[in-house]
Amino acid sequence: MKFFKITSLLLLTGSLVGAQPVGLLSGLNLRVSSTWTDNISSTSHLPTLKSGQYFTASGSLAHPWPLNRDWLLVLEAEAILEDVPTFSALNSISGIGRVNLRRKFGPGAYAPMFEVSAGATATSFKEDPRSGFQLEAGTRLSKRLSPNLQLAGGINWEDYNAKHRTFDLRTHRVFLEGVWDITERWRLSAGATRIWGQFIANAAGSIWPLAIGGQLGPEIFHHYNTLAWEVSDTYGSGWVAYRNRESTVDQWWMELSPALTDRTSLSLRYEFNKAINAIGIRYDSVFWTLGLNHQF
Amino acid sequence: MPRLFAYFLSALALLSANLRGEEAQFTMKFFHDGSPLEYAVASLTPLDFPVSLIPTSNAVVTQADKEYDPYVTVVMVGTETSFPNKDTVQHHLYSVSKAKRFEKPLYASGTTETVVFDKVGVVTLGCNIHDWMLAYVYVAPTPWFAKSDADGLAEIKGIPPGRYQLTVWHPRIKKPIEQEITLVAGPNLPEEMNLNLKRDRRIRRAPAGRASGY
Repeated sequence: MKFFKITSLLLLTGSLVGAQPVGLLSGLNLRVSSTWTDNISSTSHLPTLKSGQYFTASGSLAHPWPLNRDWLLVLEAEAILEDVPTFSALNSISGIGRVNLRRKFGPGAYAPMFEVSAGATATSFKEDPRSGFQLEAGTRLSKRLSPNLQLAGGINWEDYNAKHRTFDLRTHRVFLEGVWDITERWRLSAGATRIWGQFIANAAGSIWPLAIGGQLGPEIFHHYNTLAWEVSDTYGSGWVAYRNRESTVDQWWMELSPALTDRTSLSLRYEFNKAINAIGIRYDSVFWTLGLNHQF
Repeated sequence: MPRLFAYFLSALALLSANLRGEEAQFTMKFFHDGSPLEYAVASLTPLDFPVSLIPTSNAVVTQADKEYDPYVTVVMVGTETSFPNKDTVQHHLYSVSKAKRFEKPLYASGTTETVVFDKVGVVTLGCNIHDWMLAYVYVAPTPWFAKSDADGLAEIKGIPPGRYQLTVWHPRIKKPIEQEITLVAGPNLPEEMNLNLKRDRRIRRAPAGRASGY
């Protein structure tokens, strides 16, 4: 079944990639990727954490409208399918709409660019309580220093309202990223992000009662009893999902991307997430992603 | 005054040669690192007679599939060049080159704008929306020019015999090459030239990945 899904996905992408860029296909971006993470369960208790793999397919259509000499409005619609074979409760489908307003300070690729964006995402998980609606807004400033070097930074706000309040999320983040086109074919990019706010974590059924029962110490007892939680069974019978608050997540990532054609690229990405909750408990995770990207 | 007289005599000689059908042909073959080189421009500026700079044809640079086509266009100074937008999206054609500084913002799909290139030099074209779009217009002070094809060949026909300044240019050349040559009526010996070029530093169009994690 898993083989069938992956093969279908690749065949679909391959046939679209081979298609001629005409009419509505112009401006369409397709991406398929496979991600492996050592802590898909976002668990702090190392002996019980679950690693796993997930597959993502997304298609987005962006249309730019120049408003005048300096301002550009971009409307974008995107659909994302995520398949998590080992933990199928996390299978999801998302629909996203975004508005992006860009101001370029002068003509040319080297002109600094300021962007303001807003978006709305509706996500439906197989595990229905996680399903919800997200509003987001952000700003971004970017500058190309040379034909092969670009820097960008920005701030984002996200507010996710799920069917069950355990899965609600409010975060804001700042990020810095750099893109270096080493040759005409090879691109190396890297970035760092600091996220403040909430994140969803999970605990095995054997651990959670100890945390809220006081057996893991008074600090954990007092803090974890203030968190929203529910039995989700997402990662096995009795597993609990809970919402950490007043947390910080530091992300560092690096991506190597060879261009296969001027419209298609592969990307191999390494990402390390260091997540710390309000009382200093860590939920670290590493992500390795291999993606195929095509732009019509 | 003597110079004007010399020009007059040269023009007479040229007219006489043309009336007799004595025209020169000149072919160049360009290489880079041993491979045929496309987009090299060879132009011939006469040294012994004045040249008529009245454009007789227009040039076209198409915006299609979010690229300029052709990548290199050669025109005689004063030539009107049209830029049809055959895409379904708007473009923002611009140049900040000394030879022609202009902007065509809000460039709607299906429309055509024109630009007259009235100064000799190289004009670099860009699109302020699609940063990877890049093309060049080489504005020559002469009607005798050619651009090399995929085999590296550039052929100039219908040249009056005489002394010329040969100028060679390429989008990645460090400095244009200039040399004096004398052409005789009929086919001239083909000239081969290996160009020393800078690295190709065009902006990458291929898409990048996307964030994962939180």
